[in-house]
Parts: sequence; C-alpha cells; structure tokens
Amino acid sequence: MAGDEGSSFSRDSMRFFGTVSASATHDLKNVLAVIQENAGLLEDLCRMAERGRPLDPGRLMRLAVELQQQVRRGDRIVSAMNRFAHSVDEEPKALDAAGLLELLAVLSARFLAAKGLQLQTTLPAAPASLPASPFLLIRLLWSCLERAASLGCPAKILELAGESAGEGLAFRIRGFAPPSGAAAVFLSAAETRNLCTALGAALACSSGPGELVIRLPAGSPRAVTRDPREARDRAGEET
Amino acid sequence: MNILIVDDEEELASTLAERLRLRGMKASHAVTGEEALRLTTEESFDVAVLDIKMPRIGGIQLKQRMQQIQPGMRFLFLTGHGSDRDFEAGVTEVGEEYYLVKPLDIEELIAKIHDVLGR
Repeated sequence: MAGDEGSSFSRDSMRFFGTVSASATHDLKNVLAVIQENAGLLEDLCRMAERGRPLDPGRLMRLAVELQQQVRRGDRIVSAMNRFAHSVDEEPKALDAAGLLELLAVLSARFLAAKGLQLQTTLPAAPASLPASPFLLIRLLWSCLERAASLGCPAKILELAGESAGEGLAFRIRGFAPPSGAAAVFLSAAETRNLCTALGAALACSSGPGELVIRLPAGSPRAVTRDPREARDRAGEET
Repeated sequence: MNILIVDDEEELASTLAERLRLRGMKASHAVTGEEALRLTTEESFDVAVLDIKMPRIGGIQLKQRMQQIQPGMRFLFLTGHGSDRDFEAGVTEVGEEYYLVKPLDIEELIAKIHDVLGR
C-alpha cells in the first residue's frame, strides 16, 4: 500500500512537472510568434520603403519597443522554468517566500489566464524563509490555486500572499467563492493531502469571504522531505 | 477578401492583421471570443483565423457560434502547441489543412486562406 502511494506520489510529481513545462513552452511559443510577426512587419515596411513608401519612425520605434518587451517576457519565462527545473534536483533549503511567489506568478500566469483569471501576489513585508523542498511547496501552492480557481472567482483575480508566521511561513489565497466544506474541499484531492503530509503543512479556511491559509510550521523535520513515506517515517522517529 | 484574426495575444493579432492589410487584404482583429462574435454581427468576413486556446471561448467553440451568425464563413486555426503529439491532437480536432502552428509564416497563412476559400 505504501509502495502504491509512493509511486502515485511520483506519478503526480511527473505529471505536475509536465503540466508546468507544457504551459511554459506554450507561453514561449506565443512570445516567439509575436517576435516573428513584429520582425515580419519590419521587413514588410522596409520592402515598401524600397518601393518609395516613406518609413514612419514612430511606427519603427513602437515595433522596437514591442520586440524588447517580448524578449524580456521570454527571459522571465525561461528564468522561471530554469528555477522550477532546479527545484526538483535541489536539496531542500531555506526557501525565500518572496522568490517563490514571484516564480509562481510567472509559472501560473497562462494556466490562470486560460480560466480568465489573474494572479496578484503580495510579498512578505520582511524577509521570510523556511527550510523546505521548493518543488513540493510549489506543487502544494499550485494545487491550492487550481482548486481555488475551480470554485469561481467573482472578481476574476486570485490573490496569493506570503508572510512570516512565528518561526514558520504562511501563504494566503483569497478571491475565490467560499466553498461550503471549507478546507476539506481543498483536502479532498489525495495529491494535496499527500503534499501537506510531506511538508508538514496545515490548511484552514477563514470564516470570511473565500480565503485559504496554508501554514508551514518551523522545526518540523517533515518540512524538508520530498516524499510522504519519508515524512511518515521521520514523524515515527520523533515519537 | 475580408479576414478576421482572433487571438488573445493582442500584439500578435493586431500585427497579423496589419501585415495582411499591407498585402491588400481587408483585415480586422479581436482578442476575445466575445469581441469576435460582436464583430461578426457587424461585418461580413470571408475567413476567420482563430486561436484554439483562448480564455472563456476557445477557437473550436467560437467557430460554431460564428457559423450560426455567418454560415458561409471559412475558418483556420492557430495553436502554440509545439510537440508532435500536440500537433497530432490538434489535427484530429480541426483537420491538418485548417491548422497553423505558431510562430507563423505569413505566406503560409495567405496560402491557407486562399486554399480554404477555394474549397
């Protein structure tokens, strides 16, 4: 049983990596397509200038600005993908909450845009970090964002905020329609439950309008594991 | 010949439309399915070029709704899918002759427009 659960966890990890990679490459295709069309338009305008049509410097400047914007957009996506790829092979380390939120904002942009949603992130007021597996924490936050998006977002904006919580970290997701089952709705997915176990995380819905709080306490050895079986083993050693 | 480009990447849609206009075609663009439907009620288009993946109304669904407004309109589809597997999935959905992968070649797009109008 534990073996089945472990292989399911690995499968979920691979699937998640594939989902994020496919979304990022899709986004990059759009960046390349815009660059291609802008470069093509520049070529068109030059060919027409050769035939006597005057070049409009303002139009050329706008195209140059757009090309630079698309290069910056592509660079953000590639940098985020590089960080995400290394989140798998990196040993668990002191995670910077602000960096993690910025990474999630880039990685989830297309996924949320496809649902007509935007993500607004609020960075911690002061530096906040916790030793944890970056890959597992990204997966947990993504799975919660995915569930929150599926509940409906009246303002079409999901907010993700990070903050220090004592010695640990807390993340808040706001803006979704409050579910009747509170946090149980989020924990109904086995993947989310397994990730909470692996990270020693606890989920709670506030009583107000849709808000989910994800707490990661400090000091739990489970916070630095990669696999729920290992987390359980460590918890057993403690007791 | 009147072409409508629909893609949620506004810069892509507007630039494609501009390049078609430079080649003597009449072309407009929309960035949402809703905007495309509105334009379809106001103007007659020969061909609509639709991004398959858009928020709320994707290209396949949009085609069905636009066809109800203008039954004679022809359609081409755009996708950012990059892998062979994704390409094959898209081809199954809309047919290879109607399917263009980003980044586009403008001459290929124009050839497809003529081709789809000739059918």
